Amino acid sequence: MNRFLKIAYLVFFFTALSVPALHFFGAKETWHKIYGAERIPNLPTMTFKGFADRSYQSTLAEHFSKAFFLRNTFYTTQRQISEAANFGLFHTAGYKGNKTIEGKAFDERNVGVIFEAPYLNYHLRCVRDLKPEGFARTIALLKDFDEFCRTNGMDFVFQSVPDKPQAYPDYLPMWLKWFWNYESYPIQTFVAKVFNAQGIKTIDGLEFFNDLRKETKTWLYPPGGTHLTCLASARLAEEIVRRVNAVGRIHLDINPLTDVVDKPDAIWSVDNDISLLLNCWTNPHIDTNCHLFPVFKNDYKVMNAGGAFILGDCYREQMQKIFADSGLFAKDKILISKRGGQKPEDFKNVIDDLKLVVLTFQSFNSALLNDGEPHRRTPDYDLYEELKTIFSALRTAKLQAARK
Amino acid sequence: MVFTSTIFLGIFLPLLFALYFLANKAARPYVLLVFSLFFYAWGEPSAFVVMVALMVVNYVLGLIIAKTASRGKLAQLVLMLGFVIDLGALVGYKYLGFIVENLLPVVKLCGGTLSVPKIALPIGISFYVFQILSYLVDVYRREVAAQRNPAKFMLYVGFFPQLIAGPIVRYQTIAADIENREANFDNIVAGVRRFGIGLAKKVLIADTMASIADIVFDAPVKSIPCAYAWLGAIAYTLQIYFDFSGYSDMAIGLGRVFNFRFLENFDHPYAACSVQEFWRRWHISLSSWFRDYLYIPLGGNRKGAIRTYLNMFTVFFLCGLWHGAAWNFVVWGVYHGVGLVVERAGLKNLIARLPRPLANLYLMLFVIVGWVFFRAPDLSYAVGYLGNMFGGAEAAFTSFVPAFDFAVLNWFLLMIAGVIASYPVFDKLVARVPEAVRLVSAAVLFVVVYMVAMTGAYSPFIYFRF
Repeated sequence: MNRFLKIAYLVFFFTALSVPALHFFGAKETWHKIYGAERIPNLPTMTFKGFADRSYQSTLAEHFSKAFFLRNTFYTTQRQISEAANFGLFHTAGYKGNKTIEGKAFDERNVGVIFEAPYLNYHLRCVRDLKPEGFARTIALLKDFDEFCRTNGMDFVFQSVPDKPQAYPDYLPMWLKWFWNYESYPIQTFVAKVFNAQGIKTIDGLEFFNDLRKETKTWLYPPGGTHLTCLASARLAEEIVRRVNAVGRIHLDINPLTDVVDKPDAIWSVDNDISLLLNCWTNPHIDTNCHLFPVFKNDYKVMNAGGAFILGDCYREQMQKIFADSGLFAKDKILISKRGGQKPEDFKNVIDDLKLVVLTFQSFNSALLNDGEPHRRTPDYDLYEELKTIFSALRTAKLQAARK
Repeated sequence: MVFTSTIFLGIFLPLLFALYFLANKAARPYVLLVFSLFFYAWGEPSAFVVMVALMVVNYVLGLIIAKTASRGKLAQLVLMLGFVIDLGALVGYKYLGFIVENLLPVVKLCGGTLSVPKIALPIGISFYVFQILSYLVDVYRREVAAQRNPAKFMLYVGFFPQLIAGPIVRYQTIAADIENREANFDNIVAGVRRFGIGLAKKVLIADTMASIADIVFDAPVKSIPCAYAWLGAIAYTLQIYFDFSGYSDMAIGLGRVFNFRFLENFDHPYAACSVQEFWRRWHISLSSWFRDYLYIPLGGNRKGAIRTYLNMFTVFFLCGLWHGAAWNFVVWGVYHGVGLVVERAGLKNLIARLPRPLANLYLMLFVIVGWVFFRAPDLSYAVGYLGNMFGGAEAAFTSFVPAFDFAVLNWFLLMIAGVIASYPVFDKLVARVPEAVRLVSAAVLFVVVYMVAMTGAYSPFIYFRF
């Protein structure tokens, strides 16, 4: 019996090892629609130069790791196993039995809770380490930029967006509240108050969401996700327009999608949908899913960049249709910047039409300085340095355009 | 190429197994050699030439030493030449920058300038150079016959399972195995199981503990409260053990599949009750290498107490330096050296009187503190971190928000599992389970870790950087 089991074990082992490589023999798996959006590099050709500089190895590794046979099955199965260990005990985190959780059926996993432990913990990891002593120079920088905008017929708004645990502290698991004094650290609110007091138009996202929660039960963040829902995005966009028009330096003739706001159940969105709602051009360096929005790219010259690709966090197909059907788009160009790192040439096609700059920061965490991977932190994040690169690039672009 | 990567698991291994077992016995060593060279070249195309050059040179030197063994002085000279070449390569690639960096203040004081060279460290050089040196010495001592087949010599040096992170294999332990290319069913089963266990250790425990340790050690040292400093240190203690022993298990398992019997590299080191015992159980291939090729030639413990302490200190100074060209590694090595000396000077008698759990606690405290030097980015961070651990922490417990990543339940469970699995009691419990159940469990475990490894992010082994 043992010998038979040993043989079976070996057969199983060698088969399991060999299955993914069936990809090279044409074995294909139907992609989950979310994974369908991932960019998979083509199978590279081995050349001496490519091998020597390791470009062949890295391309092949990327290709194979995203395309091996049964990859989708592997991914969802191991994720479910991983989540089961957390989910099993944390599924009650925030789930009030008699509340309706809108958008419950939006993905196959049918996650029905507002907080998933890994995302909760990821968010809590994003420590706000903006140092108070940095305010003075940051404020000076923002005022300086405000003056630049004024002399160039533009306006700008600073917007802080709270994290999910800040917006929904009542949904936090009790055990977490024993450890984390969450009321003491909404630094975005602190920053917003300081900035507003200094005359910098700042939307305190936390205050805004606290008020919004009083008028709607619709989630401002989707279950299992850390990004904003369409309702939250739309309302924030409306607030931006209201604040800007109230000052009157420029006038925005746009209406964030009110029919979307009336149909919150149908749509979930990712954070950069503020940009879509305002018909914006955003940082092209963050390129993960431009190809998902051919409608916008072709018809409205929108470059969208978003980082959210988390399971259950986006429902892009519906978004496309709604944006296409609504027909409400601004002619004026608006820049929304979520991260620094821009160069002047990034703005050259839009600088002449640029009317509004919206600086939106969801968390003042140092991950904003990292390329691509928001789940890593670096110490000593400096908002001042972040803003300096954006403003410097804009100024230079303006100068270059003026010289032409 | 990392053992837990999709390329290794999904392409390299299946192809190797297929070609190896389909080939005839005469061709099998060459199949292994080609795959081993390809394995190294895949990750280090530029360093590949260095490794092959050292293989060729030392193959020739080994033959010369064997031929001139009867003419003592000549053989000795050739051996010295081998040492110069091999250690020269190691020092040049690994330590030159460190040496220049430390000489810089002195040179500046004398009014001169020096530029610090930036040399990419060929992966695994510390391991295969030590392996080559042991071969030359063993040939010189006539403990083993020189390998006449260049391909088989290159296979000994460059066999992929142990090439880049050990165990450091003595030629005499596998000389017969190199010739024996029979496929042995029991070895294959045992090897595959061992490989699966190693993969589980790395993917499930080591990588999880790394997540916890990284959160703490990535934070500015002043922001880490006492409790989280301990948590980070304990997490790293588990991480390095399961990472390294997991890799060793995979190496030993893969070797076994191909009929190579590597010696054990770990024997539950965290169950030790003294620093001396710890070093008989931790990275056994390295500690025995230092014992046989440095400590004993220096005189060992045969030249009086003071000389013994000096020899131990020297060995551990170099052991620390072997781990990395940075002062925190040297301090770690010296720390262990001092611990050994103090034990030998009398502390061990005191420890022997303690109940075993207390003695183990003493050892674990010693080891955990040592790992802080290992993990910290530099010495000053390590000192600050240790200060936090022992009462000097400025930050309040509730202020350390990042630590809540550890509050993912399965991470907690894996930490507890890691602690239990560090002790022999775990193996004894597993041994009581019927073989059939163990086989089925091994298969299920393999599937789980295989899926995690194939869909996970890149996670290199810690000891790769040595």
